[in-house]
Amino acid sequence: MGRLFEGSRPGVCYLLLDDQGLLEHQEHSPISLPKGVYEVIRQREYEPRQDRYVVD
Amino acid sequence: MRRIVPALYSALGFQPPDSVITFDSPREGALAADSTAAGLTSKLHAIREKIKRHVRRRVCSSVRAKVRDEARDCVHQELRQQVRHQLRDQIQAHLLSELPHLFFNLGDAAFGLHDAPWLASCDFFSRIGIEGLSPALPWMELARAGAGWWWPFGSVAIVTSAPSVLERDPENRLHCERGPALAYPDGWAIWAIHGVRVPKRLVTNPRSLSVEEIVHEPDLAIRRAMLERLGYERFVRKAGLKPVHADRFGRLYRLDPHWTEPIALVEVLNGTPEPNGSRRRYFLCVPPTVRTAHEAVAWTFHLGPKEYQPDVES
Repeated sequence: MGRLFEGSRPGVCYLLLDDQGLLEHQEHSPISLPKGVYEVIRQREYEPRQDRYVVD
Repeated sequence: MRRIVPALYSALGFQPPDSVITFDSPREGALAADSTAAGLTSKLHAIREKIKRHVRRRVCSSVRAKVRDEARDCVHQELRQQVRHQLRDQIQAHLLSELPHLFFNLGDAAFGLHDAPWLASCDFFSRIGIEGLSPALPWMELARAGAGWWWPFGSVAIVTSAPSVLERDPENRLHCERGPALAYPDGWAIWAIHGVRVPKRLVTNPRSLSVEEIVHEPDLAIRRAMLERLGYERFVRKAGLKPVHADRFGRLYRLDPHWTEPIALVEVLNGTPEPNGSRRRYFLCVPPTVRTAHEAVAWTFHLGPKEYQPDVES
């Protein structure tokens, strides 16, 4: 089981995996992740007014 | 509307209007209000400001005593950001671009649905027991009935409809890549990409955009939307750009028009292969201050190049 926590920095959250997990996405092959804590950073793009997060 | 508007006038101590006239869009309403103002001796009632002053006094004094300023401000701020900044301000800006002579007229409008932020906060505070907010109740009913912008004159009230189309991105900004982001029953519409009002052609025919048009666009936010709609890869190819820097993280492209902010794009390979084994190439728009592909990619992850040293990418 995995739990996602919001971080204090913008665009950053933390994934806690109690056991091995599988990250699935329609745009690439599944990624196997071992048990552990992961820092998940949302990729951003530059905008003249404000940065925008990449929709993935 | 024809029942609610007179009740609102009465609740505030005004004589109800002789007639309530409805229009399909803020544009039609603004034009009608302008004509009406020119032909009437009675002024627009400052209904909106009167009710807001009364309610604000009640809410501020009562809520401060019970809930504290932080909770009240938090409610206002959240609702204001969601509704006012994206809807009311965008509609106002679009109207002014089409009808600049109505500048003063627009300032007198009551906003109906777009007063939803503070109306919703009144409703919330009323439900938790704050008393004395009854003047706002008919207004809430008007907003619930779907009234858009409206102009309360002495003898006539001009009321417009709520939008028939409203599309937003995940960050709640006006956005639609298939049609107008905001549209009214009479066809008046706003085209927008991620909160930026854009010409209709950007949405309906982006491939017709030329490199010259994009580079010469003075509004950087619209230029950014043009780049995205045309496609970064197509733009790089059309402009004949060559990488200014390349490393294991990607390739950095740059176009420097001199008269305005440069355009910088970084081309990267997706860290994870596709199911067929190939790796997807994609571009990201980055600040024009970056000098290397490594620095550009690091920036997209909120990091500097020294911090961005991945062992494995996926």
